[in-house]
Amino acid sequence: MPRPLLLLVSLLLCLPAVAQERKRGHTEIYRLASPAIVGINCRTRRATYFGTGTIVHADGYILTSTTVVPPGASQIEVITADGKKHEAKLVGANVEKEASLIQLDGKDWPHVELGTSADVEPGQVTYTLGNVLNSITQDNEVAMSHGIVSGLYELTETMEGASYKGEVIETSAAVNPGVDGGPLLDASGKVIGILSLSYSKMRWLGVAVPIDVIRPYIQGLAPQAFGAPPARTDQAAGPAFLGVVAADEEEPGTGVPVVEVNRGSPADRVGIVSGDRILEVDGKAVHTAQELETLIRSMKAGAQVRLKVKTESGTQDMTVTLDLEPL
Amino acid sequence: MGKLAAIAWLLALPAWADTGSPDGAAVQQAFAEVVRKVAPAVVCLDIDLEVVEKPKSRAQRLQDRLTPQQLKDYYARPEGPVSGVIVSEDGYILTTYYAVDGEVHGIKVHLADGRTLEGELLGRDQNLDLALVKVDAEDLPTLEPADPSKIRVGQFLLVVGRSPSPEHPTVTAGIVSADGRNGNTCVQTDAEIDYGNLGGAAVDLEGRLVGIAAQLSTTEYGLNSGIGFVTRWDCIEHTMADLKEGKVVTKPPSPFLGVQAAEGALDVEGAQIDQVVQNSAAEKAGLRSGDVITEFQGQKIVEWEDLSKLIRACKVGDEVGMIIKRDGVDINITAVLGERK
Amino acid sequence: MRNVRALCTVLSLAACAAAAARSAWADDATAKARELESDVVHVVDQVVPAFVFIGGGSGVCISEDGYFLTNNHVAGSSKRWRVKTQDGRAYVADLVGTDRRGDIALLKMKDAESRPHVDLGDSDALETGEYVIAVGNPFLLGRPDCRPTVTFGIVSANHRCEGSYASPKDLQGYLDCIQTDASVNPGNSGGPLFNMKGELVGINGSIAPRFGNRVNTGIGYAIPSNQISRFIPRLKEGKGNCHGVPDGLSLLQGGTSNDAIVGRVKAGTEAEKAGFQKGDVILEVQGMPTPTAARFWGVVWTWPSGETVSCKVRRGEETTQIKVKLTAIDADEKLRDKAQLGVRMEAARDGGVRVIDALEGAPAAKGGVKSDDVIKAIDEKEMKAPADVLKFIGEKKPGDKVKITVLREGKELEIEVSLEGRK
Repeated sequence: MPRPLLLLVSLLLCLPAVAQERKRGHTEIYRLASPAIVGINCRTRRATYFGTGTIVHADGYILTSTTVVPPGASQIEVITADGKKHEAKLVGANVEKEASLIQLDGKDWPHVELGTSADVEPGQVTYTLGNVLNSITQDNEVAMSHGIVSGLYELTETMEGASYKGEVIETSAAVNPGVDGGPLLDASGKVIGILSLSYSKMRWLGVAVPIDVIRPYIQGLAPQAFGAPPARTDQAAGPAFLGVVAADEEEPGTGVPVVEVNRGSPADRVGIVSGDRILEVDGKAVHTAQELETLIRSMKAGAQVRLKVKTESGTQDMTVTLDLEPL
Repeated sequence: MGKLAAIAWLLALPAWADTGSPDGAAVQQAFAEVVRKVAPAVVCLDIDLEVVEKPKSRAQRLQDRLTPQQLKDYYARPEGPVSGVIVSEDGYILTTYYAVDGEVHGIKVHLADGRTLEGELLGRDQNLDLALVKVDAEDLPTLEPADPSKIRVGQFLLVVGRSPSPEHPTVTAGIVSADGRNGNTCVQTDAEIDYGNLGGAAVDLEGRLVGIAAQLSTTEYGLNSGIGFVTRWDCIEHTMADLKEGKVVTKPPSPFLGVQAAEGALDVEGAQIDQVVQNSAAEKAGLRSGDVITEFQGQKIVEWEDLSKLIRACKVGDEVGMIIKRDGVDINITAVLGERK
Repeated sequence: MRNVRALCTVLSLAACAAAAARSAWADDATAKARELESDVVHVVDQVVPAFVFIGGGSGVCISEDGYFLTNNHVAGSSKRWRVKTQDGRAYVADLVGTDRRGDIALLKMKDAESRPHVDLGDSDALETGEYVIAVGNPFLLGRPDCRPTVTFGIVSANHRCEGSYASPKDLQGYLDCIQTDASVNPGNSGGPLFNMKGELVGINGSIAPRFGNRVNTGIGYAIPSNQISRFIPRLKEGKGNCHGVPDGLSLLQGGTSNDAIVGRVKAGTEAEKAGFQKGDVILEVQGMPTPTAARFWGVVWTWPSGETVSCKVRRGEETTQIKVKLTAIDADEKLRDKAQLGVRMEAARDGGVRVIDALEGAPAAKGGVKSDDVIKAIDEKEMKAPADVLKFIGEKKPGDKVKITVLREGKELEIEVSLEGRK
């Protein structure tokens, strides 16, 4: 290429860098993150739910809240930012941490990275994104608000159907119905918390469950995606864990149908598989997913329970040693 | 020459790298620096306050029952510490009148350096919503005041507080929305202000003190609604002498109906309501947007100023009768005047 | 030739140096923040003089001779107003034209000359995350001394649908609006939303509150400038009948898809004449994507009646363009009554909405809803907070029947309620 032309080309290539658009604000973070934000609709036997989820892994794992995808949810419909609808399956729901993990089929999903919440400080810039008042489901718009980390404290009361009690990250960015289950992002676009509709009666600002609280749980559910969960040092504390994902049915039959069994869990170890129905726990009949979960969690890790399970080959009695729930 | 151009071009490449939010990252660093500078002068105040409840009339109590619990929680004074700002090296600390409005049985002042000192309540001014507290100390950190004449609408404002945790400062950010509010004593900001950071320091990007966060009105403007007030430092300076002497300035409770005027409608005779304030006396009495108040306590109303004057002459708790026109029909309405908080 | 070469070299070196310098300087974060701050102050100084104080809300001047915009719900009730401008002057202003359904009013100040004014910008060019500035008069704080309130935020979403589109003959509200987290409150209505170039990109008009309160919680809605500019000629002529729809066209309701699918084409109407067929999937209108029914009505809403709009439609394997003329929606002075339940409610402790009071003689009480009932769902849609109930009922019409699922003393009940209009 002749020299003058080369130099002219260099000149032109430099111009965009020089004319850096000051007016643009936070459009970059939106461009990067919004493809990973989804709207979620799902059903349980009683009602339909809606809210937001965040794709946090290329294999289609979506992190959301139990106020959006409660235990026992089925027909989980995910609407991606491009307007397409997808079915997702429930991997696990933890009401105490207000966190649910669902998964889409396929690979190479646009996603955001998980950050850490340990060194979050007041004053740091944050963003909330999601299906605010059905913005994704109805209008195909991932809505975003910006603000800062305005406080770090402990929530001791749960409000508006939320279930998490513990340390929260408070933000001055807008949190409104529909955005629950959505991400709290830091300035580099990493997830530092999952949004909750709970609030402090002293502050009346939006809060998020810190990602460090949720991470061990999803590591327990999918270590191949999120890494191995931290080794447990204390064996005493913590509720028990069986490792089944149960569903509620339109027309309840006997017992609780098992949809998924978590790999390596106590249920897996005794041979419970998807399709089985759990009829009784220690002689007590169970009818709903919620009942089953409440019963199991009321026990201690290491406890032995007798389960009456209806399998393909008939009704069986099984003795299971419950684990500690993944952190 | 060509080589030089190529090298210069390579040097320019980083300007293109755009990861995350460049504005977000820049602003964050700037804010963090301001907080680091300012936080040492912001204190956490644990005030043992006994609030004297005024007895309510039967009509007021009946109306209270109609208020949803969530709103009652929203308007209620929460339990917890408030913020304050050190204004002199030798231990004068400013907070809000609201924080000490009642019987004060003790004040514990938690400083940023970890010390807790006993505070003595001195003067207070309800109009400016300020109270002065004194601790026994020396060489306390203070803030440089901002030049009030240089305050510009649109400039950034950070409100730094220290509640509920004495160890961690809190910060909200926004801009100056307007100056000269409340009789030219306040700057208005859209930085979120609530019970926790009331009494905190409102500072500019250089960390200079513009004023103290004050004048919170949950019943009118709401918490964290983007309507917040900061009592300006130059007004505060004028009253410091009085406050140090222990002077107490109060204002009588102001009656509040709760209607926002559609002022200036020339086709309309009477006071046309544009909006009814949430959970106010007007809303509970059944007044609606679009109603035109034509008579109040037997007096004819031609324009808004007539109504405002009559309301100001009433007392909190008064039962007032009025006639309104709605869709061409005259309706009698009785309201129980609330208090403007 | 050699001069040209030298010139090119010098220019490109200069550009490269500037870019490199900028890149290095960009590391000084506070300097960047200060620059942003001074940009905001600069825009504020530019635009605030165009502000108008009117009634219980706000307005903005768009021409030298005193035309100004506000919401219909601020100014539509009176044909003549006394208004004030930011410089403290008072004017008598006439209502020139008003769009009741779309909530925009155009007025003109009498005897106004050389008024500071602003230009309308391109609202479709707004990007989510971009800075915006709102100017208004929340809680009439600016009344005594003519100082409006300025707030700062970003565009949270564009093309939100906040109106009702259940019935094509009865569209109303903000069917295509800008959502912002810049604080707007009662009193900001009718006021301007600016981009960082100082161009008017929206008129603020409504908020979605959260804690049972009517104050801002980070969601404000503004009518976009592109819609407004298409209607200004009509408003100037004082004509009503602003908005239009493809007459005879209705979209599929419910079903598994969110898409804008033609459900029915009435014989002998513009829609039939234009060539719409049942089952057509409408992909674009006037070049704007319409992936959902809400977006379809939203785009249609921004074009005046009488205009012909071009729709890109998928029929089987093919796509085709259909041009259809918009027929005016019946002009009426009084918009239809909003449907009401007649309850006072609050968020319940364990989720759901607690009924404090079912007003006597109103639909809920008539159906059997009682105090302390906790509404869990309506028509099987979960109700998490009072805002959900308000939104759901807000989209219904008087006469619609709804099935309310309540929790009463531990038991779940289903109550059918027939909605009525406000009395």
